[in-house]
Amino acid sequence: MPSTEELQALVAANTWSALLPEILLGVLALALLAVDAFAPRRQPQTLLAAMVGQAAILAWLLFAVFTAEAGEARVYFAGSVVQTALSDWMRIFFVTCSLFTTHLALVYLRNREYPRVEYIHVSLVVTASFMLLVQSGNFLLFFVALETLTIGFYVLVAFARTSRFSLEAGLKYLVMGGFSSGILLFGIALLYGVAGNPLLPATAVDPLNFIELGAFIGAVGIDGANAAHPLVIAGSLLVLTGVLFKVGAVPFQIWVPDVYQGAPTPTTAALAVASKAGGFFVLFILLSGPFLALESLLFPVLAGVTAVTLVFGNIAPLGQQNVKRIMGLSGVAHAGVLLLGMLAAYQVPWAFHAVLFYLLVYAIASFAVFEVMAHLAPDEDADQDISHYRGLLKRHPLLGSALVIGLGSLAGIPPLAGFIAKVLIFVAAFQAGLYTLLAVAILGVVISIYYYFGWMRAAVLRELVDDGESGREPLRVTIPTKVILVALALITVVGGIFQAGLTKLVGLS
Amino acid sequence: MMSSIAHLALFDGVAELFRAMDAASPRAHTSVLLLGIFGPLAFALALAISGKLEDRAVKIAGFLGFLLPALSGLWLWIAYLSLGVEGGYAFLINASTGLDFLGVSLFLGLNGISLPLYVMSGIVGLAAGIYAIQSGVERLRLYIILHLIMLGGLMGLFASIDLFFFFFFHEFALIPTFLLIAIWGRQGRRAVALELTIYLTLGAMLTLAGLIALAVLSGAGSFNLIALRVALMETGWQNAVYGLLLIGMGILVSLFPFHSWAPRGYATAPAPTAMLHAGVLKKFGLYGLIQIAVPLLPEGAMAWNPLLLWLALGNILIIGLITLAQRDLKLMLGNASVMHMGYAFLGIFAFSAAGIGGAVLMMVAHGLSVALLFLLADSIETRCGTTDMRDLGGLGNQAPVLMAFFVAAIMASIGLPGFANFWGELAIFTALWASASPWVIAPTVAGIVISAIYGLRAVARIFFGESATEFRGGDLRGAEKAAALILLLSLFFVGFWPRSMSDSIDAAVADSFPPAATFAPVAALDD
Amino acid sequence: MLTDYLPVLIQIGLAVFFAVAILGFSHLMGQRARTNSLKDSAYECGMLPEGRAGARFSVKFYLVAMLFIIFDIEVVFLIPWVLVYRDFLSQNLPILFPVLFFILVLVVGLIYELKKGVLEWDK
Repeated sequence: MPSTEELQALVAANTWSALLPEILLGVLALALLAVDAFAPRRQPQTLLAAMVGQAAILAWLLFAVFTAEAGEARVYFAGSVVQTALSDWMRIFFVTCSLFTTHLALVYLRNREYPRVEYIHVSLVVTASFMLLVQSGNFLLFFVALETLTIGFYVLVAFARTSRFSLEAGLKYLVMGGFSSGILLFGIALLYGVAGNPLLPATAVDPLNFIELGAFIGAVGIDGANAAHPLVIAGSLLVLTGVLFKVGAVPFQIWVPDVYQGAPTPTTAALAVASKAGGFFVLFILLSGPFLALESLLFPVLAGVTAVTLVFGNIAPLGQQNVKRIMGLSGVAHAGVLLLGMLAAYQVPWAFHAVLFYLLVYAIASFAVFEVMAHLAPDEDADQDISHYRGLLKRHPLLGSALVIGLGSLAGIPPLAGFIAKVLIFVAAFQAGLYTLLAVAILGVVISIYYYFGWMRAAVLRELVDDGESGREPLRVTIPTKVILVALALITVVGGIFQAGLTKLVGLS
Repeated sequence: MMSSIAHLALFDGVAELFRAMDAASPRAHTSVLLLGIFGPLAFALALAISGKLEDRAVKIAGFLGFLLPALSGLWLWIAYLSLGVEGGYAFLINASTGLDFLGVSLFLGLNGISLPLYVMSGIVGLAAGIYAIQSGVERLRLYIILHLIMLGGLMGLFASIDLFFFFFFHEFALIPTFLLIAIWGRQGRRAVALELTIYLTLGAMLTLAGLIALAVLSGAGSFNLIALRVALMETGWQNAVYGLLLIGMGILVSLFPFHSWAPRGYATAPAPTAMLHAGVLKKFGLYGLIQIAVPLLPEGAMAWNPLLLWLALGNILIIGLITLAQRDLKLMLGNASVMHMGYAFLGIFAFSAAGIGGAVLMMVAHGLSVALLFLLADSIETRCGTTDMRDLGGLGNQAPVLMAFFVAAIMASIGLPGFANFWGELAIFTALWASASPWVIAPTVAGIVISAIYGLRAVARIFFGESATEFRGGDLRGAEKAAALILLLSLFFVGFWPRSMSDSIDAAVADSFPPAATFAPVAALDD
Repeated sequence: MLTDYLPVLIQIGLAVFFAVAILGFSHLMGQRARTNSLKDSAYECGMLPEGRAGARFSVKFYLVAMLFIIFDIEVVFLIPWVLVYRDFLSQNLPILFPVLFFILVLVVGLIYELKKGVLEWDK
């Protein structure tokens, strides 16, 4: 039984107000379920309330960020929660992603007989978990948040329960996700065990805490550095594996194409954007925190992963005709570029901000593309083929131009924001002296033009082919969708020419 | 150095006016520069977002968009000569876009090397624009918009002092090229567009890597060309970075083993696109080498020069022979334009003020003449339905004006005196003679013979003899004539008065290169 | 220190030994079984199996099982709470409302299930 003082200190550290946005998201999610259960006929209003609620939380977070004065990291819950300026921005990022995902889900569920409110509910819980994940200061909260969002994704991936593809994707994601969680947990357990070993120098009192673990790994005793301890090496590599699985880096990308294809389009978007961003931010937390002293071990490992990720991610989509698989596999290539930025961050201080810039631009472009995909999806959501995009520019100029701009930005074509993002990462990699990886990345960009070009060409050039199927009825595009598409396209174009707004947002200037 | 312009009493009054304007507001001429770059882009944007428009309104707006860069170019040319900047940078403007932490900013201005190309770009843009407007293709509005974007990018690229924006504007011009070929190209356009896209993206990416390397390794902490001038790099790095730039830009200029995209690309592209690409955009690589790579990496340039020599000779001789074998007029022109790039590379090889200066003048002249040739070849195609020279013939009787223009253009591209091309080639030969390997002149002169053979043979096949095709549409129409005349007059103008350009080129080049064989004797010939 | 683990090692050794020994000795010394197709069939005697081996259960069983697990875990969480409840109260520390919030979450879930008819067996 802890002493009175300890108890009081622990309780005093529980600053619930610091996590109010996450709590409110959870309450919103619960309220949606309850309201829908009692008033199923009021579903449109309930869904609207879900949007408004998220928007309100977003506004509040933005207000808090802009009025906050710059300062040290804020630590709550006895070190479990660490809030920094960057994690505050990531919370805003995730709520924004959630809004887009909600909107995509409403478009997706428009003509389908699946429960709506439940989808939003799970999506909100996943968002709250992402927000907790990026603030985690020890492995406990880290793992709980990661598992919560992964379990949420299991549901979201298999949500189209009458679709064989979706069920297959759900099963694959469940098995592979469970496997990676197990590996991650094993790694955490090893680190916990070795860092609590009283025979080693600088034994940690709370080995799960990132700061204490970092201090332990960085310590050097008579028998050698802790960083060279076999259990530290094994544990850190296993933890890293779990995180790399989330971002879809090779060789942990095996689930990507099938899951991206089978999952409903809004889920695919959330996997592509939020999951990737969360994974990279967590990677940053780990590499710059507890694993800082392991640079000489992790750097070559990550460099190897980066190289194969870049190669695989750019070659694998070449033969694809299914656009969801293209998004998934090219997402692997983007993970490679982001990893390159992470590696550069070891040497170049601003490189991680370039990674954030890339993530931001990637998110904006991806959501533009996914919005278009959600509108063009046939009844079987997994069968989205390039041929469905033939003559899109003529059929619906707004959707067509949004798609072209989004894809152009993903491909890194100037003058779109994606180009600037790639250049920033390349410059950072060059300053860090990663010449070989840079060469691979640049070749990758050249190859990637091919598959993005094929998709764009279908939208721009091919005349409408009247094959009598695949939803040739007029596209229903609501006014909010139009506003969203125009805004996303505009940010992508303007951000490519005048970058000041975006660079300031990610702390580059 | 006294400007030859000063001898002209007529010019004095105008120069006084321009100086007074500059004195009144230092931004006066800079705003003309901005107008030349962002004018066409603004017109493109306006056309893109405006709703239903009458055809006539689209054409007028397009014409104004194409006209602005040409006017801006002429205005700045006179202003530059009036201000007596002697080759240095003028009309500077530096604006931040949010990448200052990298040392990147939108830094615009012109010096003695970029000014002639800026002017040439505006003139070719106007001619290509007029030709595009009168062409009557489907989806004319998009056609004009894409050409306007291309032109805006071209003007911006020559006016960029910042390496990043230099590349950025190049891509700005390159992307519409792909679309234009893919949508409006001739037969086989899809494969050609894809090949071009991947090949040129590779070149562009290598160039980008080289430019990043240049900025990072020089330690200047800036992408600004003026700041980079002072920072010198170690020899080992110089070699590597120059190699990257040479190959990257070489692909974009169609240097010998990397040229295979060019002939088919130009043959397939719609005429205004080919005019802008072959005439102006392709000069990006040469301009980059002359303005950036060679002065900043002189040791790297020396190390790569022996290889460059052989590649350039490959351009002249091997491509020259391939050109001889062409039966399609557009393919022949595409190959010929690849071949002539060899001379410009030889100018760089000579590594002297005369050689480099000659290369710049040659780029201007080549841009004008090749644009004229592509324009005329396309008007032949619209009239006869083919560019296969075996089927063509006897056009001289039916279209004498077309024939006159074509003969003049061929003469110009061979390099006859009186045309701008002559001065460029002469300066390059002089520089080669003074260089360490004067023997190079022999194969180079053989190249001229080759170009005379295929040029004159083309004239003979197209305009004389019997025709196998039906001829429709009569002689050149007014708009076509106007476009062709703009180019031809410019060729004559520079041909008869090269010092209007060569003085400022000479002054700019003299800063960076040994005056082994100066450029001045060549330019003095017209005094 | 490692000698403390010696019994574990012995245990592992014994386990391996018995597994190998039983299989090995019966293989070496036992009678060889005569094999033919009848002998190898699933049921050498008795009825031939009919229908699918994997019987299908109503999904309702799974739902009930999952509900059981959720509320079971709730109880697991509540037991330590009960143990420290008195101490916290004596220190004047908040303990009731946090756990009420936790239970509220579950109650909302329960209400949702009831309204959706998960517990109506015949529906």
